[in-house]
Amino acid sequence: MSETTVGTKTRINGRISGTDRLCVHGLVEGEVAMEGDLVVEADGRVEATVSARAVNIRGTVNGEVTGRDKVEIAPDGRMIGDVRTGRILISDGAVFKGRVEMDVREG
Amino acid sequence: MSDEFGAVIGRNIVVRGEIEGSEVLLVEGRVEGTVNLESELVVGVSGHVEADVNAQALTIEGEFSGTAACSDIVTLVNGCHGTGELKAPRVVIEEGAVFTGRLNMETGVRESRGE
Repeated sequence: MSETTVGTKTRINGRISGTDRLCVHGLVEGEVAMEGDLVVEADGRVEATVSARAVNIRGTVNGEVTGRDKVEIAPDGRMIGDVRTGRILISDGAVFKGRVEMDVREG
Repeated sequence: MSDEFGAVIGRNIVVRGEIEGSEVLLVEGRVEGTVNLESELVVGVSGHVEADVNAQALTIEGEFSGTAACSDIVTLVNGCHGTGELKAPRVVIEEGAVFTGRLNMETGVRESRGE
């Protein structure tokens, strides 16, 4: 049904887990553990330890991020922290400070 | 439908911790912890909330257990299950709603002044 959205005027401090897609316009602090994707929208801010299938950063992320499939930082995205992922895409204009560790999986 | 809710916790999502906000929050998944809203909390039909809630309004369509203090109204909809303590100037329990616990309609939580 409805995908999970943290609206602009909402703040969550704690642990969010689940299988859906999580879309953040507001503020999320703590831990995000998703089987689905995490999208941090332009007006979104995530200060958390994140693990998700794909992580799409258009807003701001501070923390340790694991994207099992990929991590994508859009031109307006800002990411501070370490990234661990299979694939990473950083667009021109994006801000990133941290380490990148790519797990190369043997087929 | 999604337009009227600023924030939605979907069916397959679990949130443990603290949620704050000033827009309507619809929970169709699971929330445990505390919820502080200047607006309305809607526990949807598939929603399960175990929390201490402070909000303007609370509508329970699914399952709620915990305490709720609302400045306006608490509504328990037909088919819902509620347990705990509800405080609000107005409390509506529809036919078919199940509730076990305490209701307090005297203390409108306008301004909390001590006990």
